[in-house]
Amino acid sequence: MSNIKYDLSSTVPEYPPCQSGCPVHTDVQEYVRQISVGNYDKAVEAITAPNPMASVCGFICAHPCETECRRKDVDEAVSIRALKRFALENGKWPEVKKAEATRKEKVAVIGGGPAGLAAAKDLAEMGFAVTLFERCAEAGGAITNFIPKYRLPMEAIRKDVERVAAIGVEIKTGVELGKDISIDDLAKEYQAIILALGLPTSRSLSIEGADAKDVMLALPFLSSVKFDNFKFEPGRSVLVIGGGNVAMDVARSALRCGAESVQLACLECRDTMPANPWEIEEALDEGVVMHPGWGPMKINTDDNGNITGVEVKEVLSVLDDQNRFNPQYGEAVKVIPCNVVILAIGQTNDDLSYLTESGIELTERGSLKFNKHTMQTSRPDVFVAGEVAFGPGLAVEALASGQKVAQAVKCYLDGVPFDADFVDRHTTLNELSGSTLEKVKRLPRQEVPLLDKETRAQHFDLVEIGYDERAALCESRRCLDCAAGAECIDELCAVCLTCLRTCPYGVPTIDENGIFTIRNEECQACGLCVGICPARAIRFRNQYAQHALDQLEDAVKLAKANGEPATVVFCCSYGAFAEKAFLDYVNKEKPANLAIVRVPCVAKVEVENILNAFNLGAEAVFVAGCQEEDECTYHDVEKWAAKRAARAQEILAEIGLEKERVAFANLAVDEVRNFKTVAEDYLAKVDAVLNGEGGEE
Amino acid sequence: MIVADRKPLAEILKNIEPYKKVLILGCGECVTVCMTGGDKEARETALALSIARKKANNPVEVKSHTVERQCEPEYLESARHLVEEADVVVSLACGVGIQNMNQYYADKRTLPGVNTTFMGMPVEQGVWTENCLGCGNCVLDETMGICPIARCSKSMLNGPCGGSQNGKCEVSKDTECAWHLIVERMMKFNKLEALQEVKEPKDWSTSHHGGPRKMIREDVRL
Repeated sequence: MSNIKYDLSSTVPEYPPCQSGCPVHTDVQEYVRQISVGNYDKAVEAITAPNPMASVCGFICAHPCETECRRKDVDEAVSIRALKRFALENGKWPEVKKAEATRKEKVAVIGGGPAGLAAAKDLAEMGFAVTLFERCAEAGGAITNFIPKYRLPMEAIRKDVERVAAIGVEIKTGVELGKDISIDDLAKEYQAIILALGLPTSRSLSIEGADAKDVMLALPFLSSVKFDNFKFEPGRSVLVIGGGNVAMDVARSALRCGAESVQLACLECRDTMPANPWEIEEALDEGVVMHPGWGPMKINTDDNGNITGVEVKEVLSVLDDQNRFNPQYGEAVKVIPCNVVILAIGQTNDDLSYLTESGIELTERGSLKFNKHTMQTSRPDVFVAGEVAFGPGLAVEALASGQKVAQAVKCYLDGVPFDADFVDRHTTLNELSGSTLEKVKRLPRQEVPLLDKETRAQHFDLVEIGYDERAALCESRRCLDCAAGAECIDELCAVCLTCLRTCPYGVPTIDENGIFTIRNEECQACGLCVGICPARAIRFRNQYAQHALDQLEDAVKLAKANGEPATVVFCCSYGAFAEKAFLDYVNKEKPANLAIVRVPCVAKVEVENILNAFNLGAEAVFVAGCQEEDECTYHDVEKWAAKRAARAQEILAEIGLEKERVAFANLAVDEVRNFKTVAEDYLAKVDAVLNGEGGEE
Repeated sequence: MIVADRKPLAEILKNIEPYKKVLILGCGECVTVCMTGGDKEARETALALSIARKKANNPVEVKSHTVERQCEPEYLESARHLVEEADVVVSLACGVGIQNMNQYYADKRTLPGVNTTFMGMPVEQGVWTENCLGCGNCVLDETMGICPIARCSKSMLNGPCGGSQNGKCEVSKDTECAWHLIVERMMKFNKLEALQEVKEPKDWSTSHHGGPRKMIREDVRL
């Protein structure tokens, strides 16, 4: 179910910056954490729950989550989008539950793009009967129709659309509003109608030569490349006008369609081009030649009407003081030789004048009039969502818009007031303080592998190869787990300051008034304070570490039931311990008397946990850390894990048991991958100790 | 704060040998801060005792609980049901708390789980040193804020003695000579002439030597 709620209550949730930045508020922290421990199924659950186009977003989301990621101030943001794709390709997707029809009202959604699909899904899950009308042969909107295959496979879109349909949304394709159906007809059957029409029309240019025969518009070009196998004749040199993401898609598609050369000119300078920086880079890598800061003045043609070039003029500024589009030009002029021009200067809505016959008012410029608070048009039963109302944006923003309008429609059909200002209210965790930033370990971002730039523009194969398991696990460990970590239980705290002295990040502090506080918002969730607090007055806000340790009891019981001596391994759950090789050993190969408890960092294993293993009946405990310090975000793990094991050894010795029953080792990656050998060696040592052959001389 | 050391587990095990239900009672103040008798230590101690008794084929039910301060009768009430269901209580509080337990729950024995050692402070994480003996007649004004009673092995009032070498006490090279520190600080404040004065022998009657002490504030008595 969507994370976007209509909620009038006085308390609002606080999101980490990533979740706040995501327009549909996916619990990024949760799925990145699940990836980091190798639990890709759970990651998929977290990704797909609030996002009806998760698969699409895994490939092409412009990831506002990464823009907000706190790690950007340390080194570079976590590569969240690529992690999402990795999880979706490696985890099991949860089965779609068909929504129960609990409402008698029917809702029509016009437009099968992200906004329409999201609205339809949420309304179906609310119990309404929902029909989605899509004029094209397939739903998905601009994503289906225009996003090139080298960026997004059709299978990804189809997977998302099929899941929306499986919930119970009836999707009728090839049905166009204004031609095949009208609002008035729909209104006879449907109690609410949502217009999620998108911006499916390319804008043209009113300059001399713009009507030349080889001037093409971006969207029809992209569509014909995608669906009609469009190819340029030999000798075509293309100039793309525009600097946005669509322009990049056009330029890169043109290369793949056999253009001899592809150039691009746009008003904006290189730094202010509206396209995503990585899309510009990838286009440049493929050989697109760019002329940023040059505005088209005239398309030159020869006597036969063939384009010979485009006259461009130097641009001094694009926006005026009030941020309005008002380009100012300098004196410099040049001609960029080309024989094909593709205009990618923006999108607009179709001619919507037919809607006025149904009582839906348009603005003077022909766009929909609507109330931003209620998301209603001038006709109360007709609502708006997505780009047709709110202008161009990201797919994930359109999804959020669809989820919002679903809430609006529900309120309308419930007969209660709705105000969009009360949807999606939340607060956002602040940025990390400078003092914490300095102490966070720098971990280089795992670059997302792409196809070879020299050859990839020769075909439409997916450019992004994506992470392999090792890269994904390393990248996921870069998450700072913002504010998921320590919080003080004030009624238990003895204010002993042990945490303040132990924390590697300076999170616990004494303020200028002498008041002690653990600044949870700064916490990096290493857990060292929890393990050392003598009053047990610190807990994690997120219980994942505790849940991991809670596995101990059942694991020991199982190990004891299947053979003696029961032996416990507390191991890290990150890095190589999250790889398939290790998990396969744990799930399929390990000896029955070996209990393996994976903990999100062995520094979170306390003396009490080790003793508890013995008390439950284990005869020996092995604390297995890792040698992956370069990939681990925590500090001092080995030191503290070793100290805890040593303390447990001392206690055992005090009660007359062999110290050797507790072992601690940091394993190399290869040892973890070949844990069978490590375990066999360890179990042999345990046998020796239990048979009186080990121990101190 | 009051610093204590947990008793050796072997000693505690011996003391609880006759019992089948034991409560380990931690204290949330000084012994928590010195990491001897807080909730964490109480739980670890309980587990250790339980493991040992299982190995000895004499299992014992050990529970643990921690109260805010064992030296205040009112705080002890919250442990009543646990105390009553136990055969014996092992307190990880200082001697004050242990005595309070025995007094408050007069029908139940509370055994010491710690050796109360001194009044001190953490000089670094995990290291506590003795700083005050509670002699009842503070001389810190005369000794530049460094206590010769607690920190000099001989509690000398006219130091240093001949055993002071390189700033260390002859008793242990890990122990700083308090009088060396006092002299250094006197030099810093240009007060060395104070050493000329020979201090009278200390009147120890204000200390424990005068018998158990008591303090009364009539203005706050009920």
